[in-house]
Amino acid sequence: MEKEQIYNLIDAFFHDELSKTEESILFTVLSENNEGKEYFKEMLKFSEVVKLTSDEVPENLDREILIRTVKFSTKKKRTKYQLSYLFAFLIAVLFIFASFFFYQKLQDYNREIKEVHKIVDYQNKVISLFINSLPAARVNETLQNEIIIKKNL
Amino acid sequence: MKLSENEKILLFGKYYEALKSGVYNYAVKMLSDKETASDVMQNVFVKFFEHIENIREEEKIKVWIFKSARNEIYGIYRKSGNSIFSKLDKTAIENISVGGFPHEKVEAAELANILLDEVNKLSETSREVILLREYAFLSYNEIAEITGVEINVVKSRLHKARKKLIDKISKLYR
Repeated sequence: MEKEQIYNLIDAFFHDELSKTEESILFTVLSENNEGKEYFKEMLKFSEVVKLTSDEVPENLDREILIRTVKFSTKKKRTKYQLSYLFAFLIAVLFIFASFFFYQKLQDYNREIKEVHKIVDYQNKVISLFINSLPAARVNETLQNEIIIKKNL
Repeated sequence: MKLSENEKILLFGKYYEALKSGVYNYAVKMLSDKETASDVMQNVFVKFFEHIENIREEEKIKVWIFKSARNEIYGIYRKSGNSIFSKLDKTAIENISVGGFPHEKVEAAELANILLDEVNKLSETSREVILLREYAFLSYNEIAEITGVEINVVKSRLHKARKKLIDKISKLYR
């Protein structure tokens, strides 16, 4: 096995990326390869020191994150409910306005019909007056123009 | 992913527990300031909770979280104009609990100190790769996806950076 491959296997080993079979291959290779063995030791020391310099997440930060996510979750829920209430309220307001608008329209039509009715009544009366004011018709009983019927043979 | 509120909380808990240490260490060591790193971590995980349903595949969650942390960190650098090579926070060394003898504790602290100094001296790209691999335990593929470089570049940067660090540490304990 090449040096590069051994180094990659060692790296993978320290990052828990090797399967059991690969691990056994690595240890077989290391038993025969001093350079690899040396690198393995160095990596072991290196990962120990890395662990030493690793910072732990403070408890208050854990708590803070938890509080913020819970807040976000409840706020989202509340917003969801608030939105549905708002939507229902808007619909109700819309219906109120619509019914008011149609009531007004109805009233307007009613008024217009009454006025038209009045005008028609008035015109009816005027027409009656005109008819009544006309002179009476005279009908003659006698025949004034003689009708002569000739035989045309 | 379409999830119920309970499923969301469970998924969040699972990934928070698994990744919190990696994200925190990555942020602390990139920013060298625990308070700012805590803010980054809060923002990242709250954002994760908010967008948990928008992440299409569960396998992408890890990368999504670290990408989000990376964006936050680089955003802070852009805003503050600070160099990424600021001094690393070494409070972790103060809390070292190793070995039964005082000399072991001193040696461990010294090694840790050297490691942090050397990490601090690394270039921005190498430092990031080392942090993502050694502290966050990400795979080469994940690091490549997060940093936006080829996997071979990740491997080579990591190998060089780690060699430098190992050489420094080896000198001390040999």
